[in-house]
Amino acid sequence: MKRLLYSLLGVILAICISACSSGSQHMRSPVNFYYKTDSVQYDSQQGVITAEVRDAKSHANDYQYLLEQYLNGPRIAGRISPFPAGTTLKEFSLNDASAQVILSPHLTMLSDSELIIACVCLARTLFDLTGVQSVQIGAQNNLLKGEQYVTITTDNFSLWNNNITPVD
Amino acid sequence: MIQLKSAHFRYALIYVVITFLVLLILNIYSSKTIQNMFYNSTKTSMLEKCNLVSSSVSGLEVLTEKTVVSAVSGFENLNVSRLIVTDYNSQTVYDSHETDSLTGKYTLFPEVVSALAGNDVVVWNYHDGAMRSTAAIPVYSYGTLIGCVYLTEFDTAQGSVIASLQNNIFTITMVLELIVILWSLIFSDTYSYRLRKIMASIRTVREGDYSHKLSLRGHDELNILSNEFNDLIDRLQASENTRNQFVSDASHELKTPLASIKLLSDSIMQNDMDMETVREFVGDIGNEADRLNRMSQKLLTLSRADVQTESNFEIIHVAPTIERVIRMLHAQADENNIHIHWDLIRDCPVLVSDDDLYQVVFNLIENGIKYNKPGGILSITLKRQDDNAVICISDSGVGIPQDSLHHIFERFYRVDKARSRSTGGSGLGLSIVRRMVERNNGQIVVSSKVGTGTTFTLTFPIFDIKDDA
Repeated sequence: MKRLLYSLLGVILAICISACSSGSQHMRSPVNFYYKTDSVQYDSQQGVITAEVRDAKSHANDYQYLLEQYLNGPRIAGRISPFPAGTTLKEFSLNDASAQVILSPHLTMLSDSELIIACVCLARTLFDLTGVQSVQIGAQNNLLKGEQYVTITTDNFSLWNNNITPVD
Repeated sequence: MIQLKSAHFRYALIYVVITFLVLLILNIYSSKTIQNMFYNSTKTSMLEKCNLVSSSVSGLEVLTEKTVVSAVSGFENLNVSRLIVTDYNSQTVYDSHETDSLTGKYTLFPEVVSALAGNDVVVWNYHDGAMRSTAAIPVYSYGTLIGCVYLTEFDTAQGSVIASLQNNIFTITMVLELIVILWSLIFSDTYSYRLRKIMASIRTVREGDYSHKLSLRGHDELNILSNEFNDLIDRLQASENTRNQFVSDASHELKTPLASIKLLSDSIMQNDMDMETVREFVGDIGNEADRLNRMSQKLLTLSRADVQTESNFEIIHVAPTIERVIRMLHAQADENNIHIHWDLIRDCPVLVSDDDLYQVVFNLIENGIKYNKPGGILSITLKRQDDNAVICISDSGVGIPQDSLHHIFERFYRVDKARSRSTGGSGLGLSIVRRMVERNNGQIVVSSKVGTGTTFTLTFPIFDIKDDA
C-alpha cells in the first residue's frame, strides 16, 4: 500500500515538474512584430516603430520560422519593413540572455540611423519573443559600421523623450 | 411660466441660438489665433536656438562626447528643458539631463530621426496650461551630415498666458451670452406683449366694443398695424352706425304707411259711412299700399346696388339710354305740364352697367318732374368734356336750401317731408343714384338755388374703343 502511495506521489510530482519546466519557457502567442512607422505624426503619441500583432500558436517556439515571417514584412498598412527587400535570415542562435542573428548581405545597404532603426525593430521583436536582454545583429560575411555586429540591448536606445521638465 | 410653443419663447430661442453660435465661432477663432501666434513665435525662437548650437558643433570633424561637451558648454543659459546632440547614427553624444541621460544610447525620437534624414522639425502643442515645443535640425560639417541637435521646451509660463487669455475670452463670451439671453427675453417679452395687446383688442372689438382704441408705442410695423387696426375699427363703427340708422329709418318709414292703413281700415270698420266715403278711404289704403310697395322695391334696389359687382359692365352709348328714359317719363311730364328739352351728342361711349345708368337717369328726371313748378322746364344735356361724358339734368323747380344740399344723398332724407310724401317720394332715390354712380366709376355733383331750380351733373369716363381697347 505504501509503495502504491509513493508511486502516486511520484507521478504527481513528475507532472508538476514537467508543467513548471514548460512554463519557464518564453512562449507567447500572439506575438509582436516591430516595424518602422510609415508616416510619423509628430503631435500624436506615435513613435518611429510600430508593433503588428501576429498569431503564432503553432510556431510559438520556432524562432527561426517566426524571424523568417518577420523579415517577410508587415501585413497591416501604416508600417513598412526597415530592411531592404530580399533580406533573409542566415543564422540564428539563442543563449540565456542574448541572441545572435546573421542576416543576408542586403543589410549592408543600410547605414547610419536607418541601420540602427532596423536593428532596434528586429531586437525589440526578439526581446518580446525570446525574453533576451541583448541582440547582436550582423550581415553574412560583411561588417556593419566597421564592426562584426550591431548590439542592441533593452536599455541602449530610447524611442520617446519621457523626461520633460519645465524650463528653469 | 414659459410656453414652449409661444412666439415669445421662439423669438428668444432663435436669438440665443444664433448669438451662441456666433460667439462660439469667435471664441474658437480667437483661441486658435492666439495659439498660432505663440506657435509662430516659438517656432522662430526654437529654430534660432537649434541653429546656434548647430553652428557651434558643426566645426567639429567628429561628434564625440568629449568634443561636444566643450562646444556646447557656453549654452547653459539657452533656457530650454533639454538639449540633445546625436551623431549620424542617432547615438547621443550630449544630453543636458544628467539624470536619465541618454548619452551613449541610440536616440530614436521621431524628431531626431527626421532631422537625421535632413529635415528641420518644429513640433508644438499646448495642453493643460503648458506649452511643449520640440525642435530638431541636422548638423552638417563641410556638407556632410554629422549628427543632429534636438531641443525641447516645456514652458508653463507662456502656457499660463495662453490659458489666461483663453479664460478671459471664455468669460467675456459667457457674460455676452448671458446679456444676450437677458436681452432676448426682455425683447421677446416686449414684442410679444404688443402682439398680446393687439389680440386683446381684436377680442374686445369682436365682442362689439367699437369704441376701443389700440395704442402701441414705437414706430415699427406693429405700430403701423395698430394704426390700420384703429382705422378699420373706425370704419366698422361708421358702418355699424349707418346700419343702425338705416334700420331705424327704414322701420320708421315703413311704419308710417302701415299706421295710415291701420287708421283708415279702423275708421271704415268703426264708423257708418256712405259708400262714397268708404270708396275714398279704400283708395287711400291702396295709395299707402303702393307707397309701401315702392319703398320696398327701392330698398331692394339699394341693397342690390351695394352688393353688385362690376361683372355687368359693358360699353354703351349714353344718349340712347337717356332717350329711353325720356320716352318712358314723357307722359308723366305732360301730366305735370313740364316741358322737357334735351340736347344729346351721339358719340359718347362709357363702360357702365346699362341698367344702372337707366336707373340713375330715370330717378333724376323723375325728380325733376316731381319737384318742378307747373309749366316748368326740365333740361337734359349730354356733352363730352375732356375725356368724360357729362350729363346735366336741370329743373326750374323750388330748389334745395344750401344747408340741405349735403344731406340729400343720405337714405330717407327729405328736404320737404310733406311735399315728398304727397309726390310719393321715399327718400331713397338719390341714395340709390349716388351708390350706382360711384359703383360705375362716375361722379355726381348737385347745385341748386332756392326758387330757381336744381342741376345734377353726372360725369363718367369716356371709353373710346379705338383708344382704350
